[in-house]
Amino acid sequence: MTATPSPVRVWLAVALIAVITFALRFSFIFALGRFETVPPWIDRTLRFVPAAVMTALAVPAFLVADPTAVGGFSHAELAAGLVGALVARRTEDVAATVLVGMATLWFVRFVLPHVVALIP
Amino acid sequence: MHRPPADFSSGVRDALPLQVGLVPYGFIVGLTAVRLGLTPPEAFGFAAATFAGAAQLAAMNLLAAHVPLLVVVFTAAVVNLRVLMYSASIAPYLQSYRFREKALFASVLVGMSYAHSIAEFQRDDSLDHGWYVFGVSLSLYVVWVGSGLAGIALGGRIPDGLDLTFAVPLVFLALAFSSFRDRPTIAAGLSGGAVAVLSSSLPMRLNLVVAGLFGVGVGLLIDRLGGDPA
Repeated sequence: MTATPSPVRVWLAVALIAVITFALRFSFIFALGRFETVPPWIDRTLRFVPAAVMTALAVPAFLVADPTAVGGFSHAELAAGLVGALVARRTEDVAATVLVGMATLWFVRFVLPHVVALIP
Repeated sequence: MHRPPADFSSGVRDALPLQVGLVPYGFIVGLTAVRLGLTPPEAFGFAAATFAGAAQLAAMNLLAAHVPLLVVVFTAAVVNLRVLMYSASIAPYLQSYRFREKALFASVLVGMSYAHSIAEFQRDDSLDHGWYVFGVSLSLYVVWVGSGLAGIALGGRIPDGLDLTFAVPLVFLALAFSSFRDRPTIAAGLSGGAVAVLSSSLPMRLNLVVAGLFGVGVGLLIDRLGGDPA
């Protein structure tokens, strides 16, 4: 499903993103000599970017359409998302969320079907 | 006045807990890069040149999905926008340095080094601000690249079928919850997530940008409705 991206595209992306990221990092450090304070509207708006963007990046991956599954969504990804959200909320720790989320994914996908099959 | 080298070393030393905490994250990102189909040099290039985990994951994920380059770069830029906050907030401490030094200190500035350093400056303002934050940042950079290399090395040896790239949305999930601080930010998150799903049929993964814009808008609205006219 994931075919290898072309090297040209990858390296161009690396270069462009590196330059843009440096520009973002340097922006106010460079400019603050010229403007006395940070415009408050920038501050206010930037506050919401991480919340909106990170959630937008995360949520769709847990809602995988599956017509054969009860409820229309694949249970493994959904369960991983719900459990992952609980862990993320409590720990705010990346590694913990990934570990528990992946464990949930594998459990629902690989272990649970066998358990269910044992039920007479 | 502290000597720059001394405070650089203090920064490196003080950042030890942060360095340890960064290892699993860097490892996961390196591992995922290879699982997504990037070659080891490409994965290394991303880590070494950008030093921005969430943006790396977003960009690599989109590259693997053959999304147009411009959208990849733009999405990565949007994911990285919060770096502007760090730049703005630490800039006053760095005003007295030469241009060259400012650029150097800025080049590896990340959320963790910014947050830790600001807290330290408030405790002890006599620190050499620039060299201290550079010590923190550079040590984190070394750890990032090192743990990334370890993840890259392991990534090629893992059998398919484990769906390890599912780590990507899990990382974003953790980062999302870290950013929820109050009602407006939670509103921004929930609406961003909802719109991302509802507009998922848009081409070129534009739903991410649309959702981001919408979420920020909702956040600003709830903030404004909340009472204090800032």
